Amino acid sequence: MDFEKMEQDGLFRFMDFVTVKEEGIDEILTTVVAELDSLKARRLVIDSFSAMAQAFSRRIEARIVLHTVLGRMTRLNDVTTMLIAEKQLGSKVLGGGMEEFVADAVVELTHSLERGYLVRNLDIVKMRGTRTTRSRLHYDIGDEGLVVYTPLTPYPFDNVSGEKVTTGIEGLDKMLRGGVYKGSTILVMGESGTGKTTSALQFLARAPAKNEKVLFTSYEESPDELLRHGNSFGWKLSELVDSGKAKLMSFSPDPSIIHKIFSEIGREMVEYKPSRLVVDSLTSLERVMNPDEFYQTIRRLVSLGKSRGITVLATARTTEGALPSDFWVSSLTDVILSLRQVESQSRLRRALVVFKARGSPLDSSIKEFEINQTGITVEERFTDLEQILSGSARRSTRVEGWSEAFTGRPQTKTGTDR
Amino acid sequence: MISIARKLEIASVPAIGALAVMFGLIGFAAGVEWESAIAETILNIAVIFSVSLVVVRISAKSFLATGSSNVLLLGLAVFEFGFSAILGGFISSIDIAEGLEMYILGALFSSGLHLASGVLTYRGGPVRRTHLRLRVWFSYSATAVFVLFLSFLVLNLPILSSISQIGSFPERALIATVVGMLLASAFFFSRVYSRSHSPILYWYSLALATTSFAFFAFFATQDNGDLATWTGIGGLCLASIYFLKSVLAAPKTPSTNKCVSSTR
Repeated sequence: MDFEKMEQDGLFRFMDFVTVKEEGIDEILTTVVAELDSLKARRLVIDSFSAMAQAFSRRIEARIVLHTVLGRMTRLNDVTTMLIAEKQLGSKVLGGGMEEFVADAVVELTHSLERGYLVRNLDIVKMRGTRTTRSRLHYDIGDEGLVVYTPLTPYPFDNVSGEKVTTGIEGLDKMLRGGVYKGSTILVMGESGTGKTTSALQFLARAPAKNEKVLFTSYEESPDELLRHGNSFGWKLSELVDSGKAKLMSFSPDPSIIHKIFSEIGREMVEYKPSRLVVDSLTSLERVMNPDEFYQTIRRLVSLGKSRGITVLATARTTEGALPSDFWVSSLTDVILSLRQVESQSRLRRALVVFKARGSPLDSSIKEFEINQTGITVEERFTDLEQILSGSARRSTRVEGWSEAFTGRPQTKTGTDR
Repeated sequence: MISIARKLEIASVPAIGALAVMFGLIGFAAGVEWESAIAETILNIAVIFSVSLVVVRISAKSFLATGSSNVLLLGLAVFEFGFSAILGGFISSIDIAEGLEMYILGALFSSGLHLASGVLTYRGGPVRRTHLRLRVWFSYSATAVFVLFLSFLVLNLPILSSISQIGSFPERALIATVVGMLLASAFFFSRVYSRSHSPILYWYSLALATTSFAFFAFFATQDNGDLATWTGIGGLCLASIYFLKSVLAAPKTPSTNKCVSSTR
């Protein structure tokens, strides 16, 4: 905003009262009112009211001025007044301790240090006659001034779809008896190198039908890397991006911009209207948020996806032997897919299991899958290995059951004749 | 409540016996014959020997893991039978009589090993103190009947004149012994099954009983290639399926001696 030009045009007036004393308050107020009249101003900012309040020897006088003089004057002239009240670090008292009771709305700006990053917080403490969000908002100060990041807004989702959509992986669709419900949320868990990002790219690249748009949000790879990744499987992601059917967004999350990221995702979900959304990976986001905030944000993301019929696939990097219950946002998801790596006979093999598929029958066997030139291909279930999910896979045999039947006791290793 | 499938499985044993009586002892459809050494050899290799290898493999592994003698004997029994069946089959293609002798001798030793395994498995359970009188009476009576049966064969009494028109007396006696020992083995394993309710033992007992009745069909055979002979061959094939089901009934569990670690 060009305040100088606005001032020249008579749209803005800056008044500087550097030193305010109690005996001069009346004069100042008279001057302000006169300026309001002459400008026919509709907005008044007093920065800061705390400095003005300090001029009064008694707090009650400051309250009277605020309530009767400023309040009535501005209301009569239809002027909206913004008072800037200071708050000392560590103090719970706002300004002179009376502003919050007199004002119609109180917006508190604070900042906190989160994992070494300064995070700006905005709390709407009071807003007379208006229902506002109860959750903390976040803002930033940039070239555009002060920007408040809109949190993801959960919508009611009455129109639950019974339509199933493909995951882009044929074998997985069979395991899920025809795919996943439109608007559902899929969680793909797995350790690093298990194929999470590949499955997410395949979910986008192979799936979209005509007029469908897809959105990929990555927190670990750049759009160029994603394109190279997808193109290596022959999925022609570049064409999808060029035609506007796919949008790849990459973020480098830290606590200071995490809310901006979710605000942008929310905006894209509403404005770009994708049918599929990938979040790769939740782990990167989880690391820069506190657990409650992370849970609530993901809950809102899932809710927004459901309400707009967007099928969401989120990946999560898990630790050794992790189960869905170890990843506590798993309860928010509709389908949980776990990808694992198993060493067998000096070879790394990949295992896939569907832990959960809400409202749908599923094949719960642990299947082997490969990542080849065309992407992920699901093969047959493991028949030669057991305890894959426990993290210590073993060759399975019928020997123990056989010996137990004929000896009446479980297999024990005896003798040295082996 | 016993399922229909289970009823049919159990009924298959007496059914083979009934067919053996009908085609062999009574002589129903006498004259209907098809003698084919090649068909028998193929069946021996494709079914009996193949299945025996599966049982032998798991028994050998089981013995290596546990050192259990009865499991070893069991594996030996099945191996003995499968191996002699394939050898007997080949020899039959040259000389049927010699092939038959080979077959019967293999079956004899096999049934002996089965019986030993059955007894050891049975004795491995708790000592039972009930129905002692009944058990003594049944054991002595069964032995007396078997000895009497052998004596009838020796004397070639009219009551059995229509039985075993082929083969010499020793051959017939050996087959009868095989039938008896296999039945006894099936009995012991079934007793263990009644304690453990292991599906492995269920199928194993059934397989042994079916094999026993299949040999009864061979015993009742009037002529090579008659319906009684094919009843016996069919019975052996069915028994092989039961042996296979016994192996497949063993639950797949992780081996404790062949682990592979995960990198996860």
